[in-house]
Amino acid sequence: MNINKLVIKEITRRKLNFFLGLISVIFAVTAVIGALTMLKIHDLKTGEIIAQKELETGKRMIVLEDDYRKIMKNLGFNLLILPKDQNLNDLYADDFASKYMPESYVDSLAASPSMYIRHLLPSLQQKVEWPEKRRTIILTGIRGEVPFLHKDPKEPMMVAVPKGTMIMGYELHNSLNLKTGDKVELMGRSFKIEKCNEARGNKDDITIWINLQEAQEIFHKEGKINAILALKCHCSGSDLAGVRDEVYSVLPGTQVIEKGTSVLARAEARDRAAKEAQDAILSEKVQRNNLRNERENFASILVPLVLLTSTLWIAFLFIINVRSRKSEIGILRAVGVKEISIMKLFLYKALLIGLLGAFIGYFIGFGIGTIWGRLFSVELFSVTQFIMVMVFAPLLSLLAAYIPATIAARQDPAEILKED
Amino acid sequence: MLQLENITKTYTKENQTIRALNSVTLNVSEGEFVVVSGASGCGKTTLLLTVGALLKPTSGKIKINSADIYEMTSEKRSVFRANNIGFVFQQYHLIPYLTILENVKIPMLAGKSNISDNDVIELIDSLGLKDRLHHTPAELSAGEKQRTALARALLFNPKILLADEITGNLDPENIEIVMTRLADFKNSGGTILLVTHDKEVSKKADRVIYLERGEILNI
Repeated sequence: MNINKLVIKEITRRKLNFFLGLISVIFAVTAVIGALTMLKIHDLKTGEIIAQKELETGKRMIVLEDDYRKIMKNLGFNLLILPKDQNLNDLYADDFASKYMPESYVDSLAASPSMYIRHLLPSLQQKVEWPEKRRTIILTGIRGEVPFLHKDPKEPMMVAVPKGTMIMGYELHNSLNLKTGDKVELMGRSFKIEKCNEARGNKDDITIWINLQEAQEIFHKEGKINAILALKCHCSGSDLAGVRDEVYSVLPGTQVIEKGTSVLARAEARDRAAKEAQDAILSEKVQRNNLRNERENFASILVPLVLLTSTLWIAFLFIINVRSRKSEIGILRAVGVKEISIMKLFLYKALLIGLLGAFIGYFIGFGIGTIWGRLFSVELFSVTQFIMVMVFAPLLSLLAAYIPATIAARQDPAEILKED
Repeated sequence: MLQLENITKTYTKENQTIRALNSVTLNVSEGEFVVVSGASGCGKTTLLLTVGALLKPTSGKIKINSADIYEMTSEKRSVFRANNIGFVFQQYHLIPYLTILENVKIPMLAGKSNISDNDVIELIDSLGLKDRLHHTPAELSAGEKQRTALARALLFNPKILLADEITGNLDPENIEIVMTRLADFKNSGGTILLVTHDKEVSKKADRVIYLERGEILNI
């Protein structure tokens, strides 16, 4: 006969008392582990949702960038290849290039296996007086788009202006009351108006486009051009240095500039899209965090309440147990059983309730948490958490039983035996 | 063997002091069978519990084999009680969820565990309970319960046996069994202090003392 055997015997005799204590510990541990598991699931899901959002945003950004590049293509050329000696101050002040380079440059570039550039448009441009109409105009000679020899043929963005014809900017045809099909004199030559442009709100409104060869003859610059307009390849990103290196390798006597407005527009658009995506992710994070805080606040009230209730309940059950075992305690003391052994009778029982309740409660709480959180993952199981529960639940149970056990041990056996 | 020197025990109940034992002096020799008799409430049970190292007297000394039991610490007194004193009560005080065998072995919780199961069964058999070894108290008659309680008290072969009205609930047949076992105990050198109203039982004692209002009338 020993204390452990007596504890087990007593438990099997008073099953209800033990069962009620066990239920109490299971309930408390279930509440704690359930709440912790749900919070952990929330964190895991938040991580997954944010990662998914970031992936989606990344994909959306690629699509957006592509869309913007397509838009940029429709806006026009975004590169200007100029003679190396062209002063950029003069270019920006006069709105056209004043230096010249051979027209053959464009053919050389078209013949090169360019990675970055597509669509080439050579031009010869000068600001001149239109003597017949007494207007200052920008006269531009173009020969249409020069196709790349090493790339699949694409529909040209701009076709050549046939000889003897012109395309006229809005301000000119509007103020001079001219229309398509009218014939006009320009620097002693006769031209038919091929097309009247809509208003563009820039220097194009005072520009007249004629055939490049005719422009060269008018300006006495046969075989010369002063600019090549080009469109950067979609895949090039903003690698202007790469473009320059490529152009300089083919045309060492040139310089390349990127049109600022286009660059800025694209950068701004891209930044806007990126910011929008970041804001969406941030908003999701804030929302998930708020939800977590709400759950955490609820758990921080529920868990201590459950633990306190459970502890008091176990203490109450042990007080009942002590009262119902008065006679037993009396005879044990009479036969010489020490106070500490009487305490052990109750504390071992509390320990057993705590251990068994913690074990069962952990898995029930884990199950409820995963069902409620709709996620099962091995990641959710924590050995540390399990050990903590297996230590603290029995400790709490022992704490609850300590005072009743002390009362039992300090009962006066003489009083008990005399009462009976 | 047992010496009580001027033992007084008082209680305070509802602001009144009750003198349960009043200057009781008593000497009991080793192997002596003493019956304590008297009216209800005269202090018989108090005397038994005081001698049994369970109830400290208000004044006076109790010595068992020259050892002053109330000079000991509570822990030492528990050990002394386990080794030297056996108790039997009218209400048996058996533990309901244990079998007869387990109930008799209960004193082993106090420390001694060098008694084999065979010795325990032999003891139980000497009280005619061998076929009840694995029964619980609820399945026993009053006489069987009292015999079980006596077996428990005799497990460590104590020097002194304190018995309180142990024949009160028994039929003549069971009284005979119990008294025979007590006689065996006395014959083997054990000292008995038995509280009883039963005159037939008193006749078997070496000495009968009468208590009245906490005082011994004659010896």
